[in-house]
Amino acid sequence: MTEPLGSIARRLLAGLCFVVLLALTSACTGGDQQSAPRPSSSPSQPAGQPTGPAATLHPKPAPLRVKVTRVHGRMSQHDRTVLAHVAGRAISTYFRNAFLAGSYPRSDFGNAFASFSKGAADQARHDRDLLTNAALGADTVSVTARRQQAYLSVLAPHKVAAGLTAQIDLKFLVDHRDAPDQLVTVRGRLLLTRKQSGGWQIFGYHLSRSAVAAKGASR
Amino acid sequence: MNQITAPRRGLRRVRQVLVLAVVLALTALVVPQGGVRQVPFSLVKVRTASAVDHPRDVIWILCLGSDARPGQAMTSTRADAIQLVGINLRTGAATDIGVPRDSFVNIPGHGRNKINSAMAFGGPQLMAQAVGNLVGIHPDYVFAAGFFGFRHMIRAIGGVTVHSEFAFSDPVRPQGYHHGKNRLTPFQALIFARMRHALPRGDFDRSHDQQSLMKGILREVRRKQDRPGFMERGVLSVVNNINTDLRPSELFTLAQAATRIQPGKYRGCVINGSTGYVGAMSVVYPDVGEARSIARRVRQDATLEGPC
Repeated sequence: MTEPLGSIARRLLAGLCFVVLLALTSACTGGDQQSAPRPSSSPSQPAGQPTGPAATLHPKPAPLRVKVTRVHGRMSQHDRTVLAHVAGRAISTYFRNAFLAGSYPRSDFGNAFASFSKGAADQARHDRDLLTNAALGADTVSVTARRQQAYLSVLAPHKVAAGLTAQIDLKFLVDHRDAPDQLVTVRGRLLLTRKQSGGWQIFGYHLSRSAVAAKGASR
Repeated sequence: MNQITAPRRGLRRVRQVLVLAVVLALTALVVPQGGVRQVPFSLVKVRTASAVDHPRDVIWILCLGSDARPGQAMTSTRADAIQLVGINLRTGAATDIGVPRDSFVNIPGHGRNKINSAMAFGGPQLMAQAVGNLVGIHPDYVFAAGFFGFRHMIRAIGGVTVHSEFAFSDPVRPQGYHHGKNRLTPFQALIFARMRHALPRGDFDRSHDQQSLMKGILREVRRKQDRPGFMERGVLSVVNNINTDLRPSELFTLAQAATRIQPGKYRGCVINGSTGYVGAMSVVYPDVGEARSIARRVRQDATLEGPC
């Protein structure tokens, strides 16, 4: 028995609409994240996870990518991998605490510099509007990481890393409550050295921050 | 008037639906992809912040250029370049006190002699003691470099530009050293630091040139510090070519902190004195009063206001 032509048309229309929707939604998850590798660390809440109530339509946040790109001195491949992980932890902690994690709207940035040395943290508090989202927190619905990169140049004179510079590139989308979305970029250098208690700490920074209005799929 | 049959109406619906679907599909392709679209702005405000943590605000470093020849131990020969440099990491100021190498002073345990012999008698520690006694500021650290190490470090930063007070010639630089700016290779920089006979006031002017070189190195490092790997390469060169008891990690933090020094706030003074002879030995009788006076003004904050 043949189906009525109207029924065929309805199915065809439904099928095509599905294709169109698929094209649109896949476009929403395109861009920077597609080529980004998995994060080198796996915190309980992934860095850059949309942090506000409107998380359902957010694109997938970009994970942190840490790579040793230069070694001055000598280091084994294994030590480079370990270094990227442990130094990356200090960087990841900063990115999360200062920008990406927490529940927005957010006013508490007290732990933003937890991975800084005491002196560097004291100085960073004077630059908190630039080094954290403190100036945006109250008006922000969510923050989504679009790029998180750290390329490490390492000083290793005796086959052991003594210090390093991380060239960072952090980009995140800020979803404001009553204003257009912003795409914020934080770039520059973080200076790291070993802590006496183990692990790495940030003892210096040279960072720049800029923001452009963004129109995207976050709302 | 034609009568439209049911099958023909159905075909028209199909055509309408297909047209609608094609329009929708085209719309999906033509509309820009999702995600973030940046609004083109002609002006984007970029703010910057920087800081480097170091346990101390003011540090005094005795920088020595050893006269060691190939095969000689760097710390058991005379020091030809003697610069006591104070840096204030909080304000970015620095004061460089140049000591003429022929300064005739008391060397603890060795009587009166030229100050540069203290290194040969007792290494960097005795040298630090002799300079400290003369100037009245005892250095926190002593860095000693030989000819080869100095050239290696200048190579690591890619050469250096200095301001020369005097024009003079030397075979290593066919175009000569001009009054004003000179871009120098590592070997040319070494000759610039050592040249004495071509300068009107000999040892005093040489000490002044060494300060110009220090300032040039600071400018070079500050200019290139954000290049990936530049600081690490430079500090590795220091680790490999300087005699110091600082650990590499301490050198790294100190070097990063020293980039905060602003060349415009880097002041140099050379201790004056009169020349004479002790037997056949040509010496400088340093103006101890002037040295102590400068030290009193800069000891706490490494900041020199007004003339030397």
